[in-house]
Amino acid sequence: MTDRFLADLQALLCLAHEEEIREAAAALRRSAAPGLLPLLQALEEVALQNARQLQEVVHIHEGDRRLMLAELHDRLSAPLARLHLLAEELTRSTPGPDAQRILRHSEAVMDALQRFLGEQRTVEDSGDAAQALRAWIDDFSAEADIRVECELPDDLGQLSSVRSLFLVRVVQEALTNVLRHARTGDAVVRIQMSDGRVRGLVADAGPVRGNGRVRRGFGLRGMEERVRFLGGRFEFESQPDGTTVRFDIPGF
Amino acid sequence: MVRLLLVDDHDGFRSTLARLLHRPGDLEVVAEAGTVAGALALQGHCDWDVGLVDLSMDEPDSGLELLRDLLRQNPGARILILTMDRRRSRVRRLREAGAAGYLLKSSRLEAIESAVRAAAQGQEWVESPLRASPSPAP
Repeated sequence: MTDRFLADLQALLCLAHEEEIREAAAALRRSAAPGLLPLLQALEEVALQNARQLQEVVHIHEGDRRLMLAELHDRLSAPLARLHLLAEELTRSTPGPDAQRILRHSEAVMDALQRFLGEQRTVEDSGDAAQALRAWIDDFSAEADIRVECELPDDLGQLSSVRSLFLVRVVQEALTNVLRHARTGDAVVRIQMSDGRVRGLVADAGPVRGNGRVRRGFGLRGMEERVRFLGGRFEFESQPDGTTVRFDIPGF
Repeated sequence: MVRLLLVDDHDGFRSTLARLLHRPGDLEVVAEAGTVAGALALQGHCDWDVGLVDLSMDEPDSGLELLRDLLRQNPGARILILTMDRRRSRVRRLREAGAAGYLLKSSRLEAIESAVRAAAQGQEWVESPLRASPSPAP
């Protein structure tokens, strides 16, 4: 076995998607000695099994996220909505600055919860990343009052379900960061698919709120982890005059 | 007087809203339901002018389904959606489905009452933070 063959074999075991594994295994079979074919077959099966389990984990995670949002809606929003009504009743039965303050706070809490639910809600279950992203960006743009210049390829729907889901999540998180951290009314989302890669950019040219730098928090880490999971490259650049997220993911 | 049907699966919220919307001679909640089936079962047994329907009950879009069913039963029904969902795409979808208006659960009672009166007079109502037209999808 040559070093190249071993490296390719190692790469095969690291792949996360069935089509890629089958393609890589077929390429290895073409250059493998006949005696190695049963071993190659067994390793392909192991790689496929791992990929299926990974896919399952991703879907379980997504299911948990939906469940958490549903629970949040059911267990928190209804009691809060009732509390809000009671606060308003209080302003009528006991008018005064205290009751008004309670009502204003309750409105602020309801508003924050509604915005949070809107940001976190994933896309319509269309299964089409382009359609899902356009709908989400449309809602985001109107809600956040941020104009989003958006370039999405029409064939984004060809992406596998995990890629598609992660891509949507990365763009969601990057735009939510624009809303939270940038003083701007404009952002850009640009995604291109060519040469077997998906390249994307989410950028704004607004000064960063606070101390002028975006803190590396959970959101940023989540974006980076998703892109790396897909075997891609992730770049984040935060300057006083704007922030840019770039990603480059192999395969469709 | 405007007669209201109130549909929401959270009893506490529904009963509080029903109490606060009680305006003798002006507004009155004449029927309440906590489920889609319960609301549909009222049809024919109870006359109401405006329905105030929660968007997400046991299922995320159950209010949309109820809206369609109620409009099938009575095409002239005036139905307002009451929800936590601020998404403009939802507002559009519900208006296309025939909702007379869209209210957030953070709305002031005055706004809910105005929406109910507007709906009873055949007018449309969309909560002010959601009125701006979204930018067109690229």
